[in-house]
Amino acid sequence: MAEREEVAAASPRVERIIELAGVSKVYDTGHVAVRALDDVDLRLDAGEYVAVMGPSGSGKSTLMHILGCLDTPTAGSYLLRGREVSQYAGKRLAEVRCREVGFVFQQFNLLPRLTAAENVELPLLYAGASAERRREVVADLLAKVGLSDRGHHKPNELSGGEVQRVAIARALANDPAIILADEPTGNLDSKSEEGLMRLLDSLNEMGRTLVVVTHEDSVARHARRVITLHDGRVV
Amino acid sequence: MNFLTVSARAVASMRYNKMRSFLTALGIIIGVTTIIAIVALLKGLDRTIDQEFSSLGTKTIYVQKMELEIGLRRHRNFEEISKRPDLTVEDTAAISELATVRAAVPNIHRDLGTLTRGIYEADECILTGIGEGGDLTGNWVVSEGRFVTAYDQRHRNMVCVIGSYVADNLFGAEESPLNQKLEADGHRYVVVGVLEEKGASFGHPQDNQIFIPVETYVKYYSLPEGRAAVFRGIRIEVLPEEEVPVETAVADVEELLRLRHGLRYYEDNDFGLNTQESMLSSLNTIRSVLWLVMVGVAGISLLVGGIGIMNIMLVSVAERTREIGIRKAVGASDADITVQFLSEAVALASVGGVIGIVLGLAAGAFVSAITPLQAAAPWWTVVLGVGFSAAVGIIFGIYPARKASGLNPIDAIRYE
Repeated sequence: MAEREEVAAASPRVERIIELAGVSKVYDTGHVAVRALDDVDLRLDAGEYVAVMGPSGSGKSTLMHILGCLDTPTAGSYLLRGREVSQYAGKRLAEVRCREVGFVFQQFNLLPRLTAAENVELPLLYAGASAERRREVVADLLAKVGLSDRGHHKPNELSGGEVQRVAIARALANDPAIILADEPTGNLDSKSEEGLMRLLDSLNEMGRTLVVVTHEDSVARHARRVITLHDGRVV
Repeated sequence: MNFLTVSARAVASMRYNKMRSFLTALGIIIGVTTIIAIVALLKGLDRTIDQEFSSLGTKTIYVQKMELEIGLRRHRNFEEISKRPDLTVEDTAAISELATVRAAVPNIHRDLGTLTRGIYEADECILTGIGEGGDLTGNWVVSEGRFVTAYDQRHRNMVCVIGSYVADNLFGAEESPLNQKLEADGHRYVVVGVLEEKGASFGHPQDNQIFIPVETYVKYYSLPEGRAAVFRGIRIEVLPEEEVPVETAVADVEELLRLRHGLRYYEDNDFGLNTQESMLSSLNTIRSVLWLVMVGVAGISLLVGGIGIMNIMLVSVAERTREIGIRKAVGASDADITVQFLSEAVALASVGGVIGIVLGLAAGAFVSAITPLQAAAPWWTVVLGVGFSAAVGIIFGIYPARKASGLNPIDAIRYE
């Protein structure tokens, strides 16, 4: 806590990009209520690089889903760039997912029927970008992740590392300020992991706020701040 | 996303599962084919009937010994009909006195078979004794000369007016038949008029007629009686006055003939008053039954097709749950997902509809080619086919699409 306030005090002009206050998430499974997140407070400034660690079932993924607006908290407040998104629903949540955050999953989650380029294009399509702009951005992003020549390949024709880089390109499509990565290297070998982490580091260096969920120290070391969750609480 | 992108994606998705898409669209294909083909046939039937009837006088009332009906023939006691009083030339005169009647014309005919004139020959000629005004009641147009007149009747003139077939076959191309002599059944007539071609009516040629004054006819031929007169006796063709509705004239003629035949109020008519409308009435029944059958068949197959589409779309939503979750995670709104699945359903139905239209039109063209029926689907059936199939796509696609868009993204992404 002290550390975070220090950072905020040291650079008062840095934007407070994420602010969670008293956020709880309770899953009501019928007979037992599972408290996945319990009164979590969290503040992130623009440009931060944070690793979220903790054992399985500690609420890491739930936190990511709430941060990425894939889910809404049961209680508490979530200010994303000063807007209370915990009260958002439907269309506005979709818009936040589309433009404000980029999500990278452990399972990659590319659409298997679409080519790499088409996968990267998806968020642009939902943002209503013109065909010309879509083509431009997709080419640009594929180049950025080093896959210019793989655009026409389907995901099953690419290696795990390549697939995850396509996923990162997709996360960057609408140029979001925040990248959320949920165990991005969980399904990669150590060599691919190195390359991917370098790619994520570079995103942070360019000013994007990065939140990486991991339970590997080798990954967490890249971050400048580590948040540990236990039983749904920040410890 | 604009309309083009949406349609392109829907078509791409359809092509991904070609066989399944085809089978799904089959119901719609059958439904739309049925609609188009049956409408084409019915329109062809209508057109053919109109053509047949256009050669008859539309307002003419045909007074005969028996009631005529095309199509479903009601069971009638022929014994009863043959015992009815024969119609006479005097009946005709009485009817023509009616105020609502413009012309009442007797018409009686006999087959002559093949006529020869020098080197010329005409088959299946018919000799018809007719009253003056028979051109009006029979819808004949005189192309050369004149029709039979009252003067001809009074003097039992040996004159004739011939149909175009007779004129073409018994006279050379250079000579005009007018004022030429024509020998028929042992009597010589002078041709005073030639009629315009009329074509066949209900399969019977009409241009093989040789019209002579009915009084001349009666002089040479005895009128058939009783049983023979049912089909061969005098037929009276009645044309109502210009402004008089056909029903009014029918009622007047009916009253007059009942009086002349001495019928009591409880007795049925012993004559038939046949109008285009009365002859068509049972045909119209057939026609409306056919329309109902079409609506039923098409409705049921579109319903079945729609259920097929809904079923396959529900399967598709279940199969693609993860895809839906991913799409939502990268920014697709509920509306985007709804549009995606709805457009797939509409694309399936519309492609089915277009195939159905093509098959239906082909079926109509095929029938036209091998039968005399001029089957042709009017343009609105194409619009109807497309509209119906798109509507089926929307109606049966909305539920699966809403189901897809309502999925929770996290649950959907985790779905295996």
